[in-house]
Amino acid sequence: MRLDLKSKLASVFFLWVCAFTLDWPVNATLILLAILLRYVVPGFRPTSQRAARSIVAFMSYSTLIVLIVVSLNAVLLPGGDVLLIVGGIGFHESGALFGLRTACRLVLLSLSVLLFFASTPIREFIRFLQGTGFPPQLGLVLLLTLHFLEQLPDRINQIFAAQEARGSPVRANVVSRARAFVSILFPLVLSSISESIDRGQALELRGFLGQGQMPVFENRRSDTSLLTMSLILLSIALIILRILNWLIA
Amino acid sequence: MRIESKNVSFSYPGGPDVLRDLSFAIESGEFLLLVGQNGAGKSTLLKLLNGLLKPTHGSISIGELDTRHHATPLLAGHISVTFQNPADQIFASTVREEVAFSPTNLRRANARELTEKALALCNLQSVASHHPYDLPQAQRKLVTVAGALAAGTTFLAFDEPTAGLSQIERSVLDQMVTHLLNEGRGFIVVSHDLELFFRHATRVAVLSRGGLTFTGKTRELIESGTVLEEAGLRLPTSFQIKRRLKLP
Amino acid sequence: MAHRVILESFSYQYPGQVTPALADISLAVPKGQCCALLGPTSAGKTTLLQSISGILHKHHASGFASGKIVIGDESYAPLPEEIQFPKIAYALQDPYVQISGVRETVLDEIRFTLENLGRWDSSTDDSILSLLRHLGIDHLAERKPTTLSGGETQRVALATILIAEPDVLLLDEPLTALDYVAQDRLSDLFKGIKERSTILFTDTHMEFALAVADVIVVLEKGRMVFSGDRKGLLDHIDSFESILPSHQWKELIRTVKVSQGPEATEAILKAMETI
Repeated sequence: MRLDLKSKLASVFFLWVCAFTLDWPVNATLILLAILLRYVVPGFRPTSQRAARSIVAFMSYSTLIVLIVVSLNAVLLPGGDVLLIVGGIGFHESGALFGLRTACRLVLLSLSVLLFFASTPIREFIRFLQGTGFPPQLGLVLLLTLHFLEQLPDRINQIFAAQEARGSPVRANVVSRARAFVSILFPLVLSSISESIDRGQALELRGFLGQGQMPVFENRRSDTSLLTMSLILLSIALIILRILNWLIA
Repeated sequence: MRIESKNVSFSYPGGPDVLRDLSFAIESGEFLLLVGQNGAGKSTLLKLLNGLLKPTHGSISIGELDTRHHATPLLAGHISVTFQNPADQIFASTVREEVAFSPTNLRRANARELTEKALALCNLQSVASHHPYDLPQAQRKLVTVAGALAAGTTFLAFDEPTAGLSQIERSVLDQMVTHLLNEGRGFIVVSHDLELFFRHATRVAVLSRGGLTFTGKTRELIESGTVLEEAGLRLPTSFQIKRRLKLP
Repeated sequence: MAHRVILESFSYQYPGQVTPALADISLAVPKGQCCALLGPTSAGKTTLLQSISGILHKHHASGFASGKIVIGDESYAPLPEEIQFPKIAYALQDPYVQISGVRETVLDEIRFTLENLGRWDSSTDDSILSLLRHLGIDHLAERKPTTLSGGETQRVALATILIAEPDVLLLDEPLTALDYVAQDRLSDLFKGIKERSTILFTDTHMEFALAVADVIVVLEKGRMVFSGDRKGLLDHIDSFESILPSHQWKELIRTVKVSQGPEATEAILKAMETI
């Protein structure tokens, strides 16, 4: 079964609700499941190698972040048993738990969004937005912004190279690097804007978001709509449960 | 002063060789025209000349300086390189400021004079106080050329300087090259515009699939006949017509 | 199917400008012919292509236009108000912006055009590859479009438009970064698609136009100073020195005129055909 965009969005929504309403052991399990999703469910497979790499990079960074958040909280929030003493600094249980809760929530929230965008061709997403009444111009702006962000590091390197070629010691030390960066920021944005305008024109000229030529998101009933509905219902149930829980406690 | 490339090879990390075993030399006062098909590695070679990239094998020297051991900002005092895309090179808010960038950075004593001369040679005095982005693309390209001239270096290296230029700007370049060659400056120009540069070139180097298949006098290249064809190139149209009509 | 393109006393003035960008242009390109628009920077070449493509009015709706533009059997007075893709396709001058950048490979970048048109399926990849072969860039099919050299980018940019098989093909300086061999391929390609597309392209000098164009127009400061065929242009070349490619050309024409007299133009054109 290949997931369509709606069920994918519903899954992201569901994971978000879980992140906010459930405790960390469930969330940690969901994180592991979400990583599995990328291998198991065809709709969640990364669209490109770059996207796949970004997920791997995210996982390694988030492991680091979880460790930092947990240990910081364990040190700074006293309470409960002392789990560990390193060099006279105590790591407390309640702080660690709080840290774990926050970190799992954070990772689950961002992982679900990342999975969605890594596995969804941007054009499909824009087309979906268009189908739901999103103005096409905004789709174009979104596309151009993404391109701009992607090209930015290359562009800055090129400009630095050009400055070096003209005798400016841009890479000599942190100060000269920072100074050079500030000096190119304005022209960089200026030239990028003028280029984005042209690129936008070129896209229009290639029929992107053209007058009805673009097939609008098909609103057909699919075998996944049941899944979508159940995910949404489950999310709502979780929210209600959580509210009840809070009211009773 | 002399630029010498000895058995230079280059590859990007983990990639195949982009350039293989390049050896050539040029003296100040000479014009080396570097030709080759699109994607033959010409632009990479220019970045090797001013040390932005370092050879994986072999060495390049600019006068006494080995590019492997000196940083680009220092080498920039002897060779000025411009790249294809003007958008990457223009950052000042007026044309004059932009042109003055190099001589100021290089702390040239006559920075002002160099700037004005470069503006004059590129026919940009009348727009010197304009914002570079207010100029048409073709003139913006001349701004980058003027920026390189103003550095006052012995050698100038240009990457496709005539791309996107109309005949008016091309003839500005034409006269500029004549003037500076007479002054004894050296040129290394990557261009497919053989029509314009053949008459200036004292030497031609033909780059094909990363290697040099010919280096020598322009006349020898014209007479050799097949070298250009083998590199996927051909003589300029006007030369060919002349030949076909058996004109001198 | 190629469409004719006719401009009748067409003028255009950008909003906020005091002089017109194009003044009183009358021009007829029969279907399946190739028209070269020559002239220096800011002569109005790009504006002319943009007014035919429909993007000019779309982006500068408050500009002042008069006259009439006819494309095939449709007449627009004064000019088309919407982009007419894929009936009319227009490639911008800067090839780097023609690449959308949202696709990972060259092949995919070209598919993108067909997808926009709802024409893509697995069988169209063959025609994409055959187009790439004609342009001499089939070896780049799996490369990332943003890592190509200038001349390579230029040809990919062209392919993104050509694949739509437009009735009218508008190309803004398609030669700037191309070496001679790539230019020769392009001239073969132009000749090969005559049945399908009428072509209008701009260039700053006359060399490529002499090889491919049926109709040549010279613009200066928004005015049409010449319109005719190759022979006519060479006969009157003394008045249009700004479109001569080089000193050698000037010398060449002078020498041939001295040696061959009134046959000079024919001789040059004939020699060109054998290159």
